[in-house]
Amino acid sequence: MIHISNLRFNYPNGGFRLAIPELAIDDGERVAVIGPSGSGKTTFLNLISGIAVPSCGSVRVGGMELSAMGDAARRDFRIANIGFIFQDFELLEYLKVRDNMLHPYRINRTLRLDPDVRARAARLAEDMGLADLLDRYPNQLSQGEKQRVAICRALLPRPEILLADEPTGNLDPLSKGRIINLLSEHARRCNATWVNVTHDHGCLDAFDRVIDFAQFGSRAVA
Amino acid sequence: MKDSLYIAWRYVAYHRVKTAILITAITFMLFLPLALRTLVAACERQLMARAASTPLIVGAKGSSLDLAIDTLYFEPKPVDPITMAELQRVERSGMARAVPIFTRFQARGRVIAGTTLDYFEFRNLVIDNGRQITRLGDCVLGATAAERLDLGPGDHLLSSPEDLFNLAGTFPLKMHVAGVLARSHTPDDHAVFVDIKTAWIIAGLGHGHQDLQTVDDPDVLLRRDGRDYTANAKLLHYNEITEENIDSFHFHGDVSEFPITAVLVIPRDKKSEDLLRGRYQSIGEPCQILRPAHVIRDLTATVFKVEGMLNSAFVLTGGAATMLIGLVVMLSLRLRHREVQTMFKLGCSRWKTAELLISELLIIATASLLLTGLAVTLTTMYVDQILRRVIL
Repeated sequence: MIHISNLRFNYPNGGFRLAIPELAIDDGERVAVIGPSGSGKTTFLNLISGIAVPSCGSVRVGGMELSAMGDAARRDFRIANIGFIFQDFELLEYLKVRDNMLHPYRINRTLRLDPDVRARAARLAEDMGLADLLDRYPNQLSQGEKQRVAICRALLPRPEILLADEPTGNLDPLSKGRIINLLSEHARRCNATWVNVTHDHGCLDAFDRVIDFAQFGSRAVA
Repeated sequence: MKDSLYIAWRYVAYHRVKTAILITAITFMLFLPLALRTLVAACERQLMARAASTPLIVGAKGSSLDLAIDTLYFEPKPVDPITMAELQRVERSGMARAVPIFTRFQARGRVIAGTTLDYFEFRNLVIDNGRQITRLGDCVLGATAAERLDLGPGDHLLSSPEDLFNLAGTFPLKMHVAGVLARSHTPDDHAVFVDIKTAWIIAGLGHGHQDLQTVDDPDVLLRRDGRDYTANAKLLHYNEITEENIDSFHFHGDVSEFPITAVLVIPRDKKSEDLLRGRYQSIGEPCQILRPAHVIRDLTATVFKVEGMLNSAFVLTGGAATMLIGLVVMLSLRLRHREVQTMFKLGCSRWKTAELLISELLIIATASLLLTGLAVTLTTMYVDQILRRVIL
C-alpha cells in the first residue's frame, strides 16, 4: 500500500532533514509511529498524504507515485483516498458539527455529496455518540467530542488510508482509549491502512507494528 | 459554486457582527452620493416648480436671490422694503394683477406673510378648517405651521417682537386664528398669513387705543386743541383686536407710503410681461423686477457645482473606504491562514479556496447592493416628503 524508497526531504528554510532509505506498509496494516519530537513523524504523514513533496526518492501510495503527480492531482488523491486526523482537530469554528463532517465533500468535486452520504454521516454520528450534537458549533463541544467530529470527518469518505497525528494527544485517559478503539474498529471493518503517530506508548498494543523513527534509522538533524 | 456559497454563507452568518459592519460601511459608501443626487434633483424640481408658478416679482434693488427666496419660500432674508406705491404703479399700468407681500415679522419662528385675499386665489390655497381672514387681527395658518404650533381655529397667536431690547419698537399683536389652510406641499404650509393691514398694525403703522373723547382719567389727556388731542403714555393701547375695540384701530399716514417686501406680479400676457420688465430697466430705478424661474435656475446651477465638488469628495472618501475594506479583507485572510491550511491538508482544490473567499465577498457585496438599492428606492419614493420636512 505504502512504499518509500531513498526518500530525502528538507524544508526550504533548512534546519531539518529527513531521510528514509526504505519503508513499506502493507494493505490493512495498523502501524504506530513513535519517536522523539523533531524526528520527522508529522513530516512522514505529510509526505505519504502528498501534502509535502520529497526532494528526492520515491513515495508510492496505493500504486500511485505521489512525487510524480502535480499539486491538483495530489489534492484530488488525498481527498479521495486519505483520511487525516489532526492533533488539534482542525475543525472550522463557523461550521456546525454536521457541516464539519461533510466539509470534504464541499471543497473538492472528487467527492460527491448525495443523500446516501448524508445518511451515512448521520449513522456515523450515531455510532460516535454525536447524534445529539450535530447542530452545535465546535466551541460548544468538549475536547473528546471535537476529536470524535474530526474522526467522523476523516472516516466519512471511507478512505483506504487513515493517517492520525497524535489523535489522543489532548485527551484524558478515558477518551484516549475510546478514540483508539473507534479508529481500530474502523480500520478493521474497512480493511484500511492505519498510520498513527503517537507519543503514548500505552496504546501501542492496538497496532500490528511499531515504527520507531529513531531506531528505524531516519535521521532528523536540527 | 453552490457548495462554496453555502460555506461562505455559514461563515458570514457566524461572523454576523463583522459582516454587518462591512455591509453597512459599503452600503453607506454607495448610498450617500446616490441619495445626495436624488435629493438635489428633487430639491431643484420643487424649487423650480414654485419659481415657475410665479411670473414676476417686484422688490427693492439688491440681491435678486434674497428677494426671490424671501418672497417665494418665506425664508427671512435681509430685503429692503418698498412702498405700496410700487404695487399701485403696477396696477395703474393695467398690464398685470399685483399682490403685496410683507414678510418682516414672525410668530413663534414662523414668517407672518401680510398679503391680500388675491394671494390665496393666485396660489390656489383653500381653507381646510375654520374660515378665511375677514377682519383685522385674523390670521390663517399653513397646514404645517398649524401642526407644529399646535393651533387651530379659535386659538390665538402672538407675533414675536423684532427686538426685545428696543422699548420704542413694535409691540406684539395677539392674532386670532381664523382658519387653517389645506396642505399644499409648498412653502405656504409653513407660513402664517394675515391681511396686509394687520401686518402694518404689527409694524406700528396702525393702532387702537382708548377713545380720547370719552376717557375718564383726566391725567391721560395732556392737551386738547380743537379736534387734536395729546395724550401721555398712560393711554391704554390695545394689543388684541376684538369686536369691542376694532373700530378704534386706525392708521396714520398715507397708505401708498406703507411698507411691503415685494409685489407678486401676474401679467395679463407675454407682451405685458415684457413691457413691465422694460419699465424697471432704467437707470435710477429704485426697484427691480425679476423672473423667479431665472433666479432659481442660477441658484440650482450653483448647487450642482457644489454637488459636483461633493461627488469628488465622495469618490475620494469612497476610495479610502475601499482601501480600508481591502485591508480588513487582507487581515481577515491572514487570520484565516490556518483554516486555509486545514482545507489544503484535507484536499481542497486551489480554485475552491479562492472560490470560497470570492463567495464571501459576493454575499457581502450583494447584500450591500440590495440594501443600497432599497435605500435609494425609498429615498426616491419619499424624497418629496423628506425635502418638505427637512429643507423646504
